[in-house]
Amino acid sequence: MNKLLLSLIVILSACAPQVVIPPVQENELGPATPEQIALGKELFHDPILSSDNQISCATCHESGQAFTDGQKFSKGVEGRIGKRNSPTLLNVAYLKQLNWDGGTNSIETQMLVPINDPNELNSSIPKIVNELSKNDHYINRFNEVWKDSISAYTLTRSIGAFVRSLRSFNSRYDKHLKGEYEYTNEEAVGEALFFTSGLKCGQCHTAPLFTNQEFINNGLVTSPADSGKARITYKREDLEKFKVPTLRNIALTAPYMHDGRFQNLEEIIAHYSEGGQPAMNKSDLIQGFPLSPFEEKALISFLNCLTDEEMDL
Amino acid sequence: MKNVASLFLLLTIISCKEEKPTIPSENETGTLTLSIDSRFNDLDFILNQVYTLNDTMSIRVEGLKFYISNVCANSIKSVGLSLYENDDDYSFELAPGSYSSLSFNLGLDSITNHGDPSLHISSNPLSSFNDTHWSWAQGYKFVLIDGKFDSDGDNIPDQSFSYHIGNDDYLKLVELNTTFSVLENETTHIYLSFNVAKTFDGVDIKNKTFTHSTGQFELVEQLASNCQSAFSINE
Repeated sequence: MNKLLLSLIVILSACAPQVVIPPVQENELGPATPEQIALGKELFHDPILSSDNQISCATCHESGQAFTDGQKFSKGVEGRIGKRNSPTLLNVAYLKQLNWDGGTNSIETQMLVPINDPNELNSSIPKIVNELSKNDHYINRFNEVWKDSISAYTLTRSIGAFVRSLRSFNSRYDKHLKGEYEYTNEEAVGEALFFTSGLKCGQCHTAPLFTNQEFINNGLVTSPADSGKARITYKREDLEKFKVPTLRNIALTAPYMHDGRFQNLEEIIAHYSEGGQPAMNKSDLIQGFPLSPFEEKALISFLNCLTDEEMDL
Repeated sequence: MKNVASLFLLLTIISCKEEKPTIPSENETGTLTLSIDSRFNDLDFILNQVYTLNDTMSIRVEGLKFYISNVCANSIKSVGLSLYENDDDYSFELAPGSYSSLSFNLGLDSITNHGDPSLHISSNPLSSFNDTHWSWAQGYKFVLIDGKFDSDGDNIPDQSFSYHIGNDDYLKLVELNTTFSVLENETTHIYLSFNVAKTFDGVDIKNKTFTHSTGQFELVEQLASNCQSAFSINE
């Protein structure tokens, strides 16, 4: 009897989602100090980084919205509209490629994109270094933290230290794995649908990051036209492929997709349930599936379990 | 900052070919200086000056930059890379020896190309302060040629063109035959000519005024090849 019970537990354990958190993609300095993180946080929230001194990193990445902004496309300097939806910054410390098209491979090189983009901060590293170097407060802060002057290096490593510190692994899903939270029946059904049924959600949105960090075409006909990963690789097979986003904190990060086309979780589920649109390079995983109203409700209940309600940011 | 210097040195070493120098000691170095003189066919080239291209069209080049890296003599690699911004001397450390050929990359090898510009101090050719980096693609512009051409026949350059060549696919190797020696702790000059007019060979400027290497790949290849063949030894 005991052997039977043990076998059952082993089988159930094997079916459980993997929870091994991958290594952080550190820069050459390794883990940041609290002082570096604090300076980075200050810079992240300071509009001095933008050409009109009105827009900061936090404008498009608000802590209360899991570091997104709730907009289809973000507004940059002078009200200019960006071209892609602002993604969450939570857990980007673990990502090997950043931006929807994977154009950058570190937090430090990624931040150069919004800094230079005319529709975002519309500035440049030289301009920002010059601006900060005229500011006594920052001269002192950089000296305290880095024992060095303000430079491209100390600037990007400061902001990078803060962004890399934005970790989120304290959702009901995480607590359930640790035995600290018991799913409702609906949530349990939702998790089973997500990971083990024919829906295949968990094949791309793999735990624990809820992204496999790959680039796929999930059956969206892009409008306005966006070549996706092919913008970087120039390969036809990469046309309209985008990075699989994390689903952690998804309840806080609407609207969804690279172009912010879906307003809520119901619209996303409807898209996948219908098998997406006949887009070029569409992944074979996007096949469509039947889903009862109860199952849809259960799936959404599980997705809500991915919200970290105890983030102290 | 020590780490930054180490990383730069490591990247330089990684890109070396494995052939060993046919010369005294690995620790001994001399200096090879490429003295670059830009021309517009037979004329001295000066930024912002108006020239006549193919005897038909007035053109004014307002910006010209390009990277020179992986400078090799008989396949022995030098240390360092340079960003050409004006006629000047660009120096590289090279093992002493007698050589019969010179080659260099017009652009940057893939590892350097996709590195982080913030790792470099502002005076470094790879820093963000040179405005030669595409942040969205995490890569450098190998060659930048910007200016205006005469679009309406009044001999006044009035319409902009902008050619920025980058991407690993368009890295070009320039090979030149020349005989020279490098001596320990001494500087050897090689005088190079870069013919700006040649960069426009076969390019329909009026109808193809712009590429930043994200499309029009035939034009990008044409420009990159033109730049590759625009160098010559200035005897």
